[in-house]
Amino acid sequence: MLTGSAILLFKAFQWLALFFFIGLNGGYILLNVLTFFTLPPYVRRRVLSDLPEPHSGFEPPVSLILTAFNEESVIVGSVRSLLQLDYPEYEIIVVNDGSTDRTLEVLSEEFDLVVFPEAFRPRVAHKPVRTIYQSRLYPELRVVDKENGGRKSDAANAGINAARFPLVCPLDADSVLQRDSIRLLVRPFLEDSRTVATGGIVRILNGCEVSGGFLTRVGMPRNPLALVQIVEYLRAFLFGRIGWSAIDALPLISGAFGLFHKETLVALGGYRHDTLAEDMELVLRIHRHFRLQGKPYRVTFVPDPVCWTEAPEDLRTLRNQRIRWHRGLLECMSIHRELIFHPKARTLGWFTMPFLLVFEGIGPLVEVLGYGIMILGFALGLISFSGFMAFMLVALGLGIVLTLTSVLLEEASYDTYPRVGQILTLILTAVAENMGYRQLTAVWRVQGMWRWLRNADSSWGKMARTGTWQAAAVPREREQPAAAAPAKSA
Amino acid sequence: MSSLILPADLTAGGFTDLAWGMVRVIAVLLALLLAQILGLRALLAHRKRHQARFRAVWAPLLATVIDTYPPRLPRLPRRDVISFLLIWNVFQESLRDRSKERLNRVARRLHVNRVAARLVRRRGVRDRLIAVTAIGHLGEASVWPDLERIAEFDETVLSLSAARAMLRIDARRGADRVISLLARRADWPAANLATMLAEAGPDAISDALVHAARLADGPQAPRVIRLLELVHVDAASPVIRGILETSDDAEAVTACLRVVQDPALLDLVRRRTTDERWQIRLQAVRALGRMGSRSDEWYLIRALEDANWWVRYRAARALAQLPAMDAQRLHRLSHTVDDRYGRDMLRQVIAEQEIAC
Amino acid sequence: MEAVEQAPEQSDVATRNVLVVEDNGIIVTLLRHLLERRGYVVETAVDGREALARLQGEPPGLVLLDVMLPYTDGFEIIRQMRSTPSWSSVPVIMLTAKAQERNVVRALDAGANDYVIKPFKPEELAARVRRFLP
Repeated sequence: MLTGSAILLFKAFQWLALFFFIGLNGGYILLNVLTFFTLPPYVRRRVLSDLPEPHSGFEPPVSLILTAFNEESVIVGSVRSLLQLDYPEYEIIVVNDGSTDRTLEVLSEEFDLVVFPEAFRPRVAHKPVRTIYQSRLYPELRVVDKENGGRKSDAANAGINAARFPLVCPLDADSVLQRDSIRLLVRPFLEDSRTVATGGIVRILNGCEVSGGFLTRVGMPRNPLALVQIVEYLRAFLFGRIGWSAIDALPLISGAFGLFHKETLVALGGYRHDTLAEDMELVLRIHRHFRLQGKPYRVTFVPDPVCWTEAPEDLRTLRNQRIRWHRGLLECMSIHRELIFHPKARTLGWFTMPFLLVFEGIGPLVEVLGYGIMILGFALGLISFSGFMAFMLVALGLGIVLTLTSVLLEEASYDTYPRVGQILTLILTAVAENMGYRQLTAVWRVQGMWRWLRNADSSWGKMARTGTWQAAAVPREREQPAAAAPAKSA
Repeated sequence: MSSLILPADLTAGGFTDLAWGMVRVIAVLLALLLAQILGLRALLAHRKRHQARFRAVWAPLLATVIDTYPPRLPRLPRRDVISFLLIWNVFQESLRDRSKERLNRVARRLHVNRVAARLVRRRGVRDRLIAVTAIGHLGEASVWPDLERIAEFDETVLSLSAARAMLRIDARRGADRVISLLARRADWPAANLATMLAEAGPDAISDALVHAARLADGPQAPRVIRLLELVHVDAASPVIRGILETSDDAEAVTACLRVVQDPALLDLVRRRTTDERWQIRLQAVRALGRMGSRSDEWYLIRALEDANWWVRYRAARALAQLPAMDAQRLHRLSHTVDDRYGRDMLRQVIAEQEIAC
Repeated sequence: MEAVEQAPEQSDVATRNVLVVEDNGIIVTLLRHLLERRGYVVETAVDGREALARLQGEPPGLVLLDVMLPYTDGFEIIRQMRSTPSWSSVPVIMLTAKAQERNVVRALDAGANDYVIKPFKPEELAARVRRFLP
């Protein structure tokens, strides 16, 4: 039985939900419209650009860091493809994170590894290194064998310590690159000396042909989950990232492939080991460090496809991934809450962080409640059919509009899927994405939020001891296909 | 206590009306989007087919310039000039000498040069970019003022292309202009600049670059100094000497040490191996590895004990590079050096050398 | 490593065949014209994958290979060629861009017989091809 105040509350919530859906989707639609005027020209220019080949010796050398835990089946292919990158000077450091399978043996056989007396200097924290190997066939290839640290961040830190060059590039073992990937990510460093970190577009590999570790033909996956993730990526991750970079507030660079200024990472202590979203945490920490000290720097997103990764094709893995991503997002928001509305944080402080917190962090809850309460209201006869339908149509319809604008923008810029059949598939998938999939991920994200809240007590305790980033005894999560596109943010 | 109210419809009134209004807007947007997506697809497919057909005719035709000037040239519709230039530019980038001349003749015969000159003034980035590149190959000096203007645009790719075109049309004049712009163009990547300037040749660029290096100060100085690598050694030497002798700007000195090649400056390099800044010591040590002789072993051995890892590493590598050094001597050294870190570093470098062989 | 001169194998058909491995269609047209005019038969492979697939079949008289292919390193292709018995003595001429002259050393080390730097003089390229396929 309803009291007057309950009714008021209900009505208020209705309007809130309606405006939330309009605001969230509308904001992104606006962003897409703006991007429509800048992105296609950029891509056209890059395609046509006859910029002379870079002169040898002028491009900064790069250390690629490939972290591997039980990757015996993919590691050789991965390394072989990295050896063929089109870049004048670079080294490959494979960090064998205490694999229990034959990862190290396979590497040793394939690349003729010998023990190397490296003057290793641990500058950022990680579990101890056992041995360092050098390949006799390829002088640019080294393997660092270390004790398992429980997470990728530990291995990445070892890689950073072993790196000899000014720029480091942490990679996943199953990231598929293109021959010009490094060249593309290096550009901002060449054009602006304040650059400390760059990231690029990470696309979904499912359905594509891979040969020799390189992508040879782009295709569409048959698996409906993979399909819907492609569309989701366009809607939720890609263009948002371009927008963030444009206002100089990029909150995340994918762990699958990013390029960083090594000394900056070392000065900041490398990756943290106590968060699920170490890639986002690192970038936010970079922002925090420089902004709060008022020092000039740049974190840039390169709107070119540079990396391809597998997306989960079964519900269970996908669910775990999304829960983990959301927990990671909230952890990052919490760790770096100082940035929110901080006067020195500029666009990151007054726009990006609050936006992420409200629309990405808490948003799924509002979404789920919104649908839930409306459905409940309709079921209880409190809402007319007309009202209910209108709400649902707006909520779902705006989502479809947003997804379709993303598809259009993708077509106008990259034209990754040129065949008519593929475009039609994308359109249908765009509809399907908003009728069920998006809501499902919202539910999962709420679950992620719940888990984060439950763990918060222990996390708070850890956070109070700032500076101690030793790995908690969290077992390494063995994801089946590796985490695909960058997660937690816009 | 408030009465129990069971309203018929909580969403009555404003809410529902607004929502249905939005639904109508959304429906229109969806229709528009679908039309655009499919329309764009059709447009892109059409363009692709057109390009392919055009190429099938013109690419083989232009290919004949490698042997002779083509006797018959079909008409080139105005709207296809861009497609033509796309092929033509690739040919120009791949061929030299007589073939280039013939390509230019073909372009003039088809009046493409005039169209390109006009396109350079157009607004569209795509057309402009292609036209600027073509103008560079054609050597159309009449468009020079436009190129100068475009080289000052904020946009990196276009401005750099204009710079390249100027260098191609008139190496000397272009070099003067481009190098004078360098200080302001932090966004022009040194890597690409270096290729362009190298293409123009050391004769054309030496004077302007040396002059710019002498005047350079502030954040852009290191970039200009690094480009001295492309210049005749004797021309660059005085400027480098000046900076190494008197400057205290870390960036400038580092840049100089990177490019120094004149053995006459070895003394100045040696002095810098004890600079208090590690970046300078690092480059000094590397320079010694490049240019040094047996007598520099002493400096490098001393640098093996440097507090900084990088300096030690490069010192070890420089030692291995020295003319009189061989594997045996390196081994002996690794036993005689006092400092533990120095020994470790030597061992690492020795292992590197062994593996490389 | 000096260029290895080999008389072309006196096998039946393939002696006048040149395999051009190049992804830019316009340059392929150029090379095709250049070579066909001089009596060679031109086969093409548009990327490393196609080129490597060819290794299963009859070797050509000469391979003209662009270093800068989209998916595979040109050097990797040469290496694989050299380890395939029937192809191991096929002469390889590499095409490389001017700014990357260090590629030349790498090319020769990997087993290439000669190299041509872009932009090139057509006559020069033809002469180099003639050296291996008279």
